[in-house]
Amino acid sequence: MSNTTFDWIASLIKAVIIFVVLLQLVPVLIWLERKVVARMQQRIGPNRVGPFGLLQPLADAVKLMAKENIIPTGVDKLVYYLAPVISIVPALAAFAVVPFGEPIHVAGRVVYLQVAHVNIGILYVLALSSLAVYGITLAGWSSNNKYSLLGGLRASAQMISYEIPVGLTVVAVVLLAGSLDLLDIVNQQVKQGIWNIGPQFIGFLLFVVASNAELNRAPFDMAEAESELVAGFHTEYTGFRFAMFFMGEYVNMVTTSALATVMYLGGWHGFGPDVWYLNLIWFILKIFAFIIFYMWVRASWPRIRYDQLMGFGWKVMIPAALLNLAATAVVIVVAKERATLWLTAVNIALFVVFLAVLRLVNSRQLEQHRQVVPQPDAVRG
Amino acid sequence: MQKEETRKIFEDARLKFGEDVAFSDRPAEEGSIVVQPSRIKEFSRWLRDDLKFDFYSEVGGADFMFQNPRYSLTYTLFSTKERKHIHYKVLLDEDEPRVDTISDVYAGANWHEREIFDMFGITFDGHPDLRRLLMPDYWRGHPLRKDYDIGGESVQFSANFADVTPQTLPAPPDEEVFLGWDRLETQPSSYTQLLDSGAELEDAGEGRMIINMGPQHPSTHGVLRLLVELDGENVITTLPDIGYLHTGIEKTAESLNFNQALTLTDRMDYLSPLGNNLAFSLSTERLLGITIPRRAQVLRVILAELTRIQSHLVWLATHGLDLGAMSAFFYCFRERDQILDLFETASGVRMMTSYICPGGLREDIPPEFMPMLQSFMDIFQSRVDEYEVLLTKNPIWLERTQGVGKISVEDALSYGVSGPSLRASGIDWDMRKVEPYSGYEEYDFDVPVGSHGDVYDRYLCRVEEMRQSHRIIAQAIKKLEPGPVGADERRVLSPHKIEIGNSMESLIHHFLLTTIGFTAPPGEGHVPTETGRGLLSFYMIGDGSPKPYRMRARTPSFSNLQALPLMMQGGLVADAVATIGSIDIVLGEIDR
Amino acid sequence: MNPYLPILFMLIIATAFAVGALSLAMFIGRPKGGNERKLAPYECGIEPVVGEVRERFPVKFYLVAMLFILFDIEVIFLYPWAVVFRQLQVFGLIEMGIFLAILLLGYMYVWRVGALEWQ
Repeated sequence: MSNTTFDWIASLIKAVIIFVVLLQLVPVLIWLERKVVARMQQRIGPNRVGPFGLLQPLADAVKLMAKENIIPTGVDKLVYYLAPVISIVPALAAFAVVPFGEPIHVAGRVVYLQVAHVNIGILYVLALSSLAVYGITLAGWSSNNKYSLLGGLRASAQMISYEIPVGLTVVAVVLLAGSLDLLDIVNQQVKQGIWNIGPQFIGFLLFVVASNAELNRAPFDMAEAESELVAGFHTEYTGFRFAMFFMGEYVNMVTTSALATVMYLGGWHGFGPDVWYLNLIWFILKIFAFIIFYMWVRASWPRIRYDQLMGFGWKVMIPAALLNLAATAVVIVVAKERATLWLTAVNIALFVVFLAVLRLVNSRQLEQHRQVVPQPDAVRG
Repeated sequence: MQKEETRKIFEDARLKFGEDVAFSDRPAEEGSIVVQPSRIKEFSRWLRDDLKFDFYSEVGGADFMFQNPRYSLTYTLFSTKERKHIHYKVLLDEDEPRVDTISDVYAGANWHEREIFDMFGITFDGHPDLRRLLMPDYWRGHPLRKDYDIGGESVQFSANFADVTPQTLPAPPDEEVFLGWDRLETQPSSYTQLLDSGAELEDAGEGRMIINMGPQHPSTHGVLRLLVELDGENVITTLPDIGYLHTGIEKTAESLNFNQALTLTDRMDYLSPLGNNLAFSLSTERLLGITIPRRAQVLRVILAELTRIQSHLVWLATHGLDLGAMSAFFYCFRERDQILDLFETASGVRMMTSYICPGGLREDIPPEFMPMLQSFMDIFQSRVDEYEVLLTKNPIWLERTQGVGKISVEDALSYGVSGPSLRASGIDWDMRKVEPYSGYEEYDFDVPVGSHGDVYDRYLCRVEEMRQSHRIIAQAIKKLEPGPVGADERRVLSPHKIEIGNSMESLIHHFLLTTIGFTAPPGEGHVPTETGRGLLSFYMIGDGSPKPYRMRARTPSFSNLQALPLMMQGGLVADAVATIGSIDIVLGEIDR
Repeated sequence: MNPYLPILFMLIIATAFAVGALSLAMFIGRPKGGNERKLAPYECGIEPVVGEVRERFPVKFYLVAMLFILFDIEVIFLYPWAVVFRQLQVFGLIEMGIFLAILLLGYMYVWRVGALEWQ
C-alpha cells in the first residue's frame, strides 16, 4: 500500500468516525442537558423512553422527522431551505482539525489523531465557527416574520461582537505557543510545565464568557429569547429543519469546549500513564466538564438584556482582551525564560483585583437600591 | 362610621353644590352622594383638589330597568392622606344616557368608562378614545343591560379551523360597523391611531416598527395583546388590547344564586381564588348584614394569606422565567404545590376552591390540615431565602430590573394602580391596614414599601410580603380556637349533615337553600379587600331575590394593566417583558 | 496528500448528511395540508397586518457590522505577529504597540461619539 492510499483511507475513516461521534453526541448532550438542568431544578427530567430516559432524544428525532413539512407563506424558499444546512455543515466541519491525542503509529506510519492536521488549525476553527452566524441571519431574514428578523439580526450582531474578544484571547495563547497548530499548542503547554489556564487565566475566563455568547447560550441567548421574540430566528421552522439548528448549536458547543480544552486545559493530557486511550478519556472528560458548566450557567442565571449584552461585549470584553494580550506580550519580552511563572502570578493578581471590582460594582448596585422598608405601625400613626 | 364620613362630606358638598347633590343610604354602612350628571366633572375635581381624594378606585355601572332614572354609575375614590373612601353616584335617564367623562380628572377612569360604554351603552362626553373594551368592535347591543337578549348569539365550535366561516356568523347589522368575521381584523381605531402617530415619524426618517405581542405570546401572561410601536428597540407607544378572555362573569352572576355566583369568583383571578371568595363573601355579608364567628374569621385570614403567598409564588416563578431565570420557576412551584395540597385538604379542590362562602366557611378544616400547615410554615422562610439567593443580588437581575418600568406615586394613584405595584412607588397603602376586615387589625405585620417604583422594588415588595404573610399566619395559628365556622344564620347556611339526617325540617331547609338559595334584601354592599394583586372589591346589589341583581367586580389587575403604557414608555422591548411580569396581571380578572 | 483534503471529506459528509436528512424528512413527514391561516407567518395569533416585514431595520446593526470588520481585521493582523513574536522580541512589541495604539485611538473615538451605546 502506498503512502497516499494509506493517508486517503485513514483520513476517510477518521472523518467518518468523527462525524458519527459528533452526531451521536448531540442526543447524548440533549439528554444530559435535560437531566442536569432537571436535577438542578429539583425535577427528574426525562425518564419514560428507555432506561433513564436515554432514548428520549431519539424519540424526539423520530417525531421531528415525521412532522408535517410546513413552509409558511411569503418565505424566501431557497434561503429558507438553505439556512439550516448552512448552520450545521460548518459546525460539523469545524471539528476536523481538533486533535484528540498524540499522533500514533500504525503499521509503521504516523497517524494523527485528528481528521486533518493543518498548521493553521486554530484559524480554521475560528473561521468555521463564525460561519454559524450566516445560518441564523439567513433563517431570520427568509422567514417573513418580524420576530425572526429581529431575532436573526440580534443574533448576528451579537455573534460578530463576541467574535472579536474570542479572537483576541486566542492571539494571547498563540503568543505563548508561537504556532497556530493546535497540536503544537497542546505540546507547548506540556513543555512549559503548566497548562495555559495558569498563565492565561484571565484569557481563559474571557474565552469562556465570549464563547458562551457566541454560542447563543443562556444568559446570552438573545436570538431565541423565547419570552420576547417568541422563538427568535427559528420561529417559523418546524420538523427536521428546526432540529438542524438545534444540532448545529450542540455540535458548536462540543467544538468550542474542545477548543477550550486544547487551548487552556492541556488537551488530552491528564494524570496517569500516557497512552492514547487514556488520553482520549481525559479529553472527553474535559470537554464534558465545559459542557456541564455551560448547562449550570443556563440553569442559574437570568437572561441579560440586549443593549447590556452589546455594551458588555464592546466596552468590557474587548478592552479586557486587548489588555490581556498586551500584558502577555510585555511579560514574555521582559521575563524571557521565566515568562510562564510571571504570567501566572500576574494573572492571579489580576483575578483577585477583578473579583474585588466585581464585588464593589455589585455592592454599589445594591446600595443605590435600597431594601424595601417595612412600615411599622408606629410610623403609620 | 364610614357613613358618618360620607355624611360630613355631603354636608360640605351641599354648601358648594346646593340641590345638585343628595345623600343616599346605599351601599350599606357606607352611604354615598348622588350627584347631578351635569356636575359630575366639577364634583370629581372638587373631591380631588379640595378634599384630597387622590386614589381613584373605580366607576361601576348598574342598570335598574323599569326605574327612572334607569342607569346608575357608582364612583369610588380613596384618600390616602385621611385613609377613608367615598362613593358617589350619578343616575342617568333611559333614553340617550350620557354623562361627562372624568378620565381627564382621574386617568384610571378611561378604561372603566370604556367598559361601561361597552356594557351599558352609556356615552361619556369628552372621552378621548370611546371604543368597546371587552366585546369585539362589531358586537351588537350592550350585554349588561337587563333587557339584553341572552342566547341570541351563535358561537361556533369546531376543531377544524376551516369550518369557521364568515357565512355562519350572524349577519352584521351594518356593513360599515362590521369590520371582519373574527377579531383578527378588528381594532381599526387602534391601528389607525398607531399608524397616525407613526406617520409623523416616517417623515422624520426614523426606522419605525410595530410589533404585535400577543394574544398568543409566551410572556404576556395570558391572552393579552399589546401593539408596541418601536423606534429601533425603544418603545414609543403601547396599546393594550384586552377582552380575549372575556367570559361574562358579571352577567352570568345575575342568573345564578349567591352560592353559585361564588364559584365564578374562583375563575376570575385563578391564582388567588380564596382571596376572591373572601371579597365576594364580605360584600355579600354586608349586604345581608350578618357577622361571622371568630374561628371562621381566623381561618379566613390563614387561607387568604396562604393564597397571597401562593399567588406571589406564581408571580415570582413566571417573572423569573420571563427574564430567563428558569430555575426560580421550579423552586417556587415546589412550595406552591404544598399550598395547593393544603387547599385540597381543606376544600377538596386545588384551585377553584369556593371554600370561603357568605356566612363563614363551607366546612370546618379537617384534622390533618393543621399539621400540614405547620410543616409548611416550618420550611417556608428558608425557602424564601433560597429564592432570594437566586435573584436578589444577582448582577444580571439587578441590571434587568433596576430603573425599569418606573411609575410615580401620583400617576399610580390616578390610574388606580394598587397592591405591591403601588406600594413599590413609595406609598403605604394596604387595605388590610387602611380598612381592616376579617380581623386584620389584630395581627402584627408590616407593609413593605418601596421607593423607586421600578420593577426591582416591586420584586422586593412582593418577596417581603410573602414573609409578612408568613408572619400573619403564624399569629393566626395561635389565635385559632375551636368553635363554629359558620354564622348562626339559618337563612344563609344549611344545617349540619347530622341534623339533616334526623330532622325533616332541616332537610327541607337544606333543599331550599341548595335549589333556590338565600335571598338578599334590596340594597347594596361593598367591602374593599387586599388580594395579592391589590384592591379587590365586589359591589353587590340585591333586589330581594336569591340572585345578585348586579355583581360588579373592581379588579386590581384591570387598573394595574391600564398604567402599563406609561411604565413602558421609553424602555426597550426586553423591558416590556420585565414590566408586564412585574405588575403581575391575571387576564382572568381583567377580562372577567 | 494535501493536508486540507480530509477537511473536504468532512464537508462532503456533513453536507450529504444535512441534505439527505432534510430530504428524508420531507419524504417521510406527514403530507402537507392546512389552509391559508395555518401557513400564515406566526404573529401571536393575529394576522400580520401592521407594516412590512422586511422593512428598514435600525442602522445600528450596520454600524456594528462595520466596527466588527475593522476589529476583526485587526485581530487577523495579530495572528502572524503572534506566531513570530518570540523572534521579534522588543521590536515586535513596539511595532504592535504602535499598531494597537492607532486602533485604540479609533476605538476611543468610536466610544466617545456613542457608537457603542445601543440606545
